[in-house]
Amino acid sequence: MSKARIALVGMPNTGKSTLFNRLSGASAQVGNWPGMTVELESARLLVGARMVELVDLPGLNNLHGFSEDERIARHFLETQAIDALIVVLNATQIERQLAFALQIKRLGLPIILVLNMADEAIRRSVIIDRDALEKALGCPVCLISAKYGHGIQGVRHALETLLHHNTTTPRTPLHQALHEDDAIEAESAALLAHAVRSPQTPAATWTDRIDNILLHPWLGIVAFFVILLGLFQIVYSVGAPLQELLGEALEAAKTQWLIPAAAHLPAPIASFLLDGLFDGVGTVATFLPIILTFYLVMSAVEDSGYMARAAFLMDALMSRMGLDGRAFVMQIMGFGCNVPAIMGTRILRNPLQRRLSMLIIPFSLCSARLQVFLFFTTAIFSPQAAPWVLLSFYVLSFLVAFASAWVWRGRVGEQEPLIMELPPYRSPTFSYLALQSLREAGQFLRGAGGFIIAGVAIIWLLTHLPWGVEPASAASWAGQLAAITTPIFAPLGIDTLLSISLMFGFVAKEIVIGALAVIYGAGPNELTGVLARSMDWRQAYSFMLFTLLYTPCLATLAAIRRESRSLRFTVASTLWSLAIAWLASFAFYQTALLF
Amino acid sequence: MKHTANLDPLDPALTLLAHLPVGVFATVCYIDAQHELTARLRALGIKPGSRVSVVRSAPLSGPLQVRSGQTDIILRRAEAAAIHVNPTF
Ligand SMILES: Nc1nc2c(ncn2[C@@H]2O[C@H](COP(=O)(O)OP(=O)(O)OP(=O)(O)O)[C@@H](O)[C@H]2O)c(=O)[nH]1
Ligand SMILES: [Mg+2]
Repeated sequence: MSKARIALVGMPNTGKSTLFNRLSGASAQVGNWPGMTVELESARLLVGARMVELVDLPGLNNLHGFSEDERIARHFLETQAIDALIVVLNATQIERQLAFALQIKRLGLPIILVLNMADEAIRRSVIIDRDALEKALGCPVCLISAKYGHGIQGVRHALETLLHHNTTTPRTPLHQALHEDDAIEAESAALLAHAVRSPQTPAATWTDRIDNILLHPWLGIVAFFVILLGLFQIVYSVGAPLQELLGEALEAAKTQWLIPAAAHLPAPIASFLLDGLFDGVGTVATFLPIILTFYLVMSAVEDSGYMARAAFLMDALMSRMGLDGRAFVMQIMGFGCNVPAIMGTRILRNPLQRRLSMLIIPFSLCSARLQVFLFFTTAIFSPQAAPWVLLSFYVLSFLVAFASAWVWRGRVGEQEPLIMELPPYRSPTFSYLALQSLREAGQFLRGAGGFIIAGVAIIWLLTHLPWGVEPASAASWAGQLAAITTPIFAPLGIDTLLSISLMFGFVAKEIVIGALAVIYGAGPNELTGVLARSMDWRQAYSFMLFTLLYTPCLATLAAIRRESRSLRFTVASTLWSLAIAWLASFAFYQTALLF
Repeated sequence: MKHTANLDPLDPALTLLAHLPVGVFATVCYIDAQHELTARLRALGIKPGSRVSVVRSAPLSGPLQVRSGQTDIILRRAEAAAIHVNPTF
């Protein structure tokens, strides 16, 4: 039998991706934020004896939606061969979402109606007569809790039956299905009156009680900083000791096994393997525990529903810079990695507002840059001062982003309206968080892994060739290369060796630490000491400032190019970052020298 | 485009959602906006006849948190000023 294609459609934040993961075992990104999924995601699964391609779509507000993510979902529905649709609604909000399901039904495709979040519906006393709905609609209706795995078997069963009886139905073109809006409203109202009972005035929930604090006019701002600090406290106190342990383990492995094992190899090869690959990659690998903890905490924040609150709190400020609260959320999502944040701007409808948001996301301090800063702050500053230095970079990251937006705000013209759902708080489940952060760390390894190995190998070659010269000295290729860039970096207090690592950092910031390990000929556990001896705090801060502000990585540039569809904008945004980075470091270093 | 509901648009009690005091319930009477905006509001549960209330407003004339049925939404004051409501005291 041929492969069947089935798509998940529904309004934003109804749990489509959660159900997608449940059904297929995939690990699509889930988050309590309308607009988490912004591209098509597909997976295969076996339903009965039939192979099925399941496609997770971005959320649609209605079939008229005009933002980029909605366009992607609509385009898919319009152009692709689809055998059936799973329409996912939030059962609690069936009153407003049922009309959407009816609209989808008009497309003429076989559908399964899934009422998700049954757990929340019960808690909020929304009572749904499933059988009555099923009879009235003439399609299978499943009441489930995708997050907790309740009722998934029912969905599978319905799918199987549906595919079994599958007859190709003529499809109504989308624009035609759209015509009958008023009729749909009436039909939806009649169905609701018949099958749903929902309280007129919802009782106060714990979401309301939490929001009384977190959305309080000034307590809310305090809470925001407390949450931010708590996030880094966790990363520091869990990730940092693990990193140290891993560093010691790698160092021990090197001296006890690898050096003796490499003793009979020719010197250049042994040096390449040990001082190049092992030191470089090993040093980067020690950051894995930190990256994992970081993603774990970030996923928890994303899944809690706090992001929408941040959008609410910051909108007033952002609107004065031509943006809205959602752009602020993208800035925070960029803490993990700038690339998904750039893609997340698809939920913005005004293309100019989207560009402005894309212009400032690269200033968001991503986890790869966090590695560099953790490394330098621990190496150069006292344990008391280090966290504050780190915090100063987060503050600077926001200040520069805001200032950039402010400078270019005039280009946006009329802002688009900010209208979005404020979902209730939802407690993240640990198993999901663990899965998610492993997935992200895996992505980090796959994405940056190749770059790191290649980068480290190239740096070893540059610093050790021609063979026989003092490694990384002026006579080496790296030294010769750095001599060219000295006039640019010397006024910033960034010496030749450091400037080489910055060149590689252009490709990916994950390489920077590995590059330094190779350049300074220091293993995973020695590099901090070497760095501390070779620079003062001014040079270190200036180096970090430059690292924060110049282009994050090639992947981000590629994402900007893809999303803006403009090479000119990409180049302009890169130059903007480079110029700001140079000026900021210059101003800082020259001022600091006076003290 | 105007959506007239069962309520009289000339009723002097009518006010704008943007001016509705926090915690007071009101019925949406009509929405004085472009089709795209009314469609988006409708998708989020705000249409003539819906019962709404303002839960809170963000500082520095930031957006409003508006509740309609089981859905809370974030809405800027500019858009809330296009929504004519009839308070039910
Ligand atoms: N309480 C409860 N929460 C759920 C359930 N299913 C999903 N969620 C939560 O709802 C939020 C949204 O889930 P997603 O799967 O990302 O929703 P989506 O429909 O893919 O959202 P978009 O991609 O933004 O359109 C997440 O925080 C989930 O953990 C459920 O059955 N019960
Ligand atoms: Mg999704």
